[in-house]
Amino acid sequence: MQEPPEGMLKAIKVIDTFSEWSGKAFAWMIVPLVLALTYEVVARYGFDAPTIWAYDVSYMVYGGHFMLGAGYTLLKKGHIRTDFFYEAWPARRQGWVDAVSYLVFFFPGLIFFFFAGWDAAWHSWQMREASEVSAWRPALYPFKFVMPVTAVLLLIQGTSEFIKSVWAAKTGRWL
Amino acid sequence: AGGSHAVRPAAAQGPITLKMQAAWPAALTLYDNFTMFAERVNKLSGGRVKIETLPAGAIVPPFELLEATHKKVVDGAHSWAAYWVGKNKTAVLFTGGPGGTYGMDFIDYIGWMYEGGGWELYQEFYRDVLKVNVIPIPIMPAGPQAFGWFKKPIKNLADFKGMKCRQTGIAAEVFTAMGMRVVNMPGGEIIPAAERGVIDCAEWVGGVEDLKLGFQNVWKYHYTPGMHENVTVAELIVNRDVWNKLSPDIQEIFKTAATEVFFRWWARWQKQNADAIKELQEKHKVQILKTPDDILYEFLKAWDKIAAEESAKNPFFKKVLESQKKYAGLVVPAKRFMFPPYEFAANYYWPPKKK
Amino acid sequence: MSPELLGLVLLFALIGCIFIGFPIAFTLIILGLVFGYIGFGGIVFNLMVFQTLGMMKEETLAAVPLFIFMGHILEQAGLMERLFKSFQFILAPVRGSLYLGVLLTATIFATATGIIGASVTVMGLMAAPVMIKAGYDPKLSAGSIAAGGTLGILIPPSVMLVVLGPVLGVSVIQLFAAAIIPGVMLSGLYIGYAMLRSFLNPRLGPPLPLEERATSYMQIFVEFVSGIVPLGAIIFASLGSIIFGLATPTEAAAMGAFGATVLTAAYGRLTLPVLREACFKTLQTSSMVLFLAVASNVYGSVFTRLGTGTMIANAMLAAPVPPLVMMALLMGVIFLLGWPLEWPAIILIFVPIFLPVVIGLKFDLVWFGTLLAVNLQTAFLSPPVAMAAYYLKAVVPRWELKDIYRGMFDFMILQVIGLAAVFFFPEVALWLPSVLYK
Ligand code: NA
Ligand code: NA
Repeated sequence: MQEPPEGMLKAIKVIDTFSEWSGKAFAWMIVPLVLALTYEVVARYGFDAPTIWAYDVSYMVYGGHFMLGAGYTLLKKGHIRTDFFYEAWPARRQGWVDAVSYLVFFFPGLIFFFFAGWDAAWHSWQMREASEVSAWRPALYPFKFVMPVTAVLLLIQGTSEFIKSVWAAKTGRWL
Repeated sequence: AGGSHAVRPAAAQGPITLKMQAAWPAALTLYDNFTMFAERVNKLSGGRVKIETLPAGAIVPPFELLEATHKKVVDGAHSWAAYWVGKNKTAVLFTGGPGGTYGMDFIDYIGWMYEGGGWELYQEFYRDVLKVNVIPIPIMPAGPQAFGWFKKPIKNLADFKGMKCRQTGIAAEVFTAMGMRVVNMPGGEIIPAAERGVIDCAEWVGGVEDLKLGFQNVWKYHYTPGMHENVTVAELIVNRDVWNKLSPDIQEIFKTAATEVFFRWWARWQKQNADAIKELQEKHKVQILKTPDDILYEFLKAWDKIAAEESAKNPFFKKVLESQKKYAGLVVPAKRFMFPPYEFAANYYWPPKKK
Repeated sequence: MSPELLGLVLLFALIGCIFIGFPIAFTLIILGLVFGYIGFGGIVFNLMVFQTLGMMKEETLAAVPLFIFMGHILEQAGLMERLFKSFQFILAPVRGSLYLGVLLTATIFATATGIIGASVTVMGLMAAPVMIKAGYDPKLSAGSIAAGGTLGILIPPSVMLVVLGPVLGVSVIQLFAAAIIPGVMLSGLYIGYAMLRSFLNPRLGPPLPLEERATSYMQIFVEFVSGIVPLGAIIFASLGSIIFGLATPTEAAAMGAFGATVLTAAYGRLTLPVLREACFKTLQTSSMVLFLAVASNVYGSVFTRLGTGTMIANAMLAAPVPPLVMMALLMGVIFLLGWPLEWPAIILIFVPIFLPVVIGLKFDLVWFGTLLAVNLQTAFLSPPVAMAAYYLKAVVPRWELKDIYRGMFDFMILQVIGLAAVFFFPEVALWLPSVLYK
């Protein structure tokens, strides 16, 4: 049985560890989301003083949470696929389909996603854009930078997944 | 006829179709202004231009319309400059601004726009300050807007301060500065939230728009007018590359049609609002009441303070505000002498019913 | 090729590509980009950004991670076990008592949680062993647990309805109110069916062995009170704060999540690993649903910009078919889509395509939303992509997948009956919202 090259295993390990940790860090964002909105309700009825920040905080944390978690979710095989046929295929075919799909669908799409997101975030940064929805007006540009960062996180994890699928295509074994 | 083909090749190639999106859903009367404009352009251009009107969200979310027009994702948009206050607060001044800025009414605002240097500042703001590739044109006087809907009557500022109100944008900022409790929520949740008492009051538009949304089924106290959007002008924005490709006569048709629907739509809307007020009072037993003066004064004071603060740190805001002040300083006091107060003949012919 | 036709090719390309088995979200993005680029050039990249930002700012959807988090935390509190135990003790002498216990527990728990994973998993872990020991029929047992568990996503709070609200442009509160009676009705159908089967054939649900019964009435009472009272507090914190007008759905989700955490802590079960696990699982599930929502919006907006949506809607509206038949056809299509696809994909990709037709035919959108919800709940039970079966198989390896499928099939028929009831008697859905919100 063919053993995977040392360097390849190392690359996969480094990437997977990185995504694992990034996801585990972003996962905690749910806690401030719970606390901010609970505080808003309590403040509104308990102290009769709604906050001016809860609305902006809630969509910013929510938006950052699920976007930044996309790479981690890829690592955990969490993005849904229609495994109608896929499930029944031998590993070699699964590997082929995945490897080709990563090259044809995944990388081009996310590279474009990165550049388009970067462009929008950069424009926002240049005008120091603030939120328009509430009186609080926090800076909006960090929120827009979530888009290119998400693309980078996905591209990094996608590289590891691509290597794994090439290996499966070649050897018929998933790493 | 052959000559005109040479001048306007577009005419020979069939109509130019432009995709434009509104910041409001198609059900709103505000949307009628948009379709009215599209119709007028089509007719005035002899069918050479067709504007495909799309409702809010059809292609992009409403708050993204300026960027979307800039990037030519849509050819143009029917929107409202105050949606861009996050980019630069000067934007609100190009709606007329709270208090009409220095007492101007809609006509004075249009006067400032076309006779007082407003147009040039408007173009400069989008081109050089926001750095977006769009041409803005004033198109819709969406006011004067009501103060809002209330769970219970309000007699003074203190009553109002105790309530939780749904407010957004610059009005939210001013009300917050006045020490009020402002709650934000998506548009679709306003009525359900009102029904459940999450909020005690809310500002929407007034008249027919409010009737359509169904406030009368929840609350019975409607106060008018407000000072936050007593003069509030919506805009048509067109991508500048798209604009430059239009022949000069079509560009003139756009401007003319915008000014025409400004007045024609407004006149029709006032009739619709009058019908709505009647229906609200007679059918739904809504109390339509005058907003207490002290609230409106406080609002103007709070706004002046915010405007002064912004002027101190935003040179372009200061420039526009001063230009408006200069024009208003000339026209507003003069009109006070020239124009009989609206109440004068109105009260003579239609004396208000005594309570 | 006209832009509209290009869009139609895009639709077929998607249906083809979905079955390749690559994660749908990434397929949607690239298809949208390629077809958008052919159709209207480089602006498609900006369109993608605006759609992404729009989704990221959709405050209503912040309820999705919050309800998921609440579900994962509640799973740990052990309330379901208590509730089930008390029902088991109370009902022990009844034939098929465990079916009844499973379904009642699942129904009550559904008003506290917005997801299905927790219900099916916990019920599988705790009820299945007792059922196996008591000699219960594996098919009917598996069907009861799976179907009961799926009620969590229909009876409010419901993550599915939270996602559906913005897609239809309808208040989430209204959808919540509309789903209550159909949810309870389905629960009634499940119970009626399971009881009838046990009555006709006592071997399907024999009486419980004595050691599975309560030793005293006091024990029943303690189990019941300690199960139902805290759960009631959670239901009050989340659903209650919506109904009594304290909060928007998103805020209510946060209240529920907070309440569930406090409660779990009060039971001494809130350890750091529990909290951490709940956070990680929440991130994964909400990222899956919401990133798919981003990708669907990118794809969908290209479809709209090409004009294909309008074309399909106009063609369907022009078809010489009575509106109700059209609605029945739409429901049929959605039912079929539910076999290979999961609900997020159906709501986010296909519902927007059908929506203009529904609006054009002037159907009530709250009613349509309720029909959709009942219909999509079935998707959890319909193989081959039947999440309920997978969750169950994972915790009860003794039951064969084919038995689980077979058991779920009967409940799918009950789903169709429930769907028909909402279809022919719209009041089932619309009465409650009309009373609550005029
Ligand atoms: Na539920
Ligand atoms: Na299914």
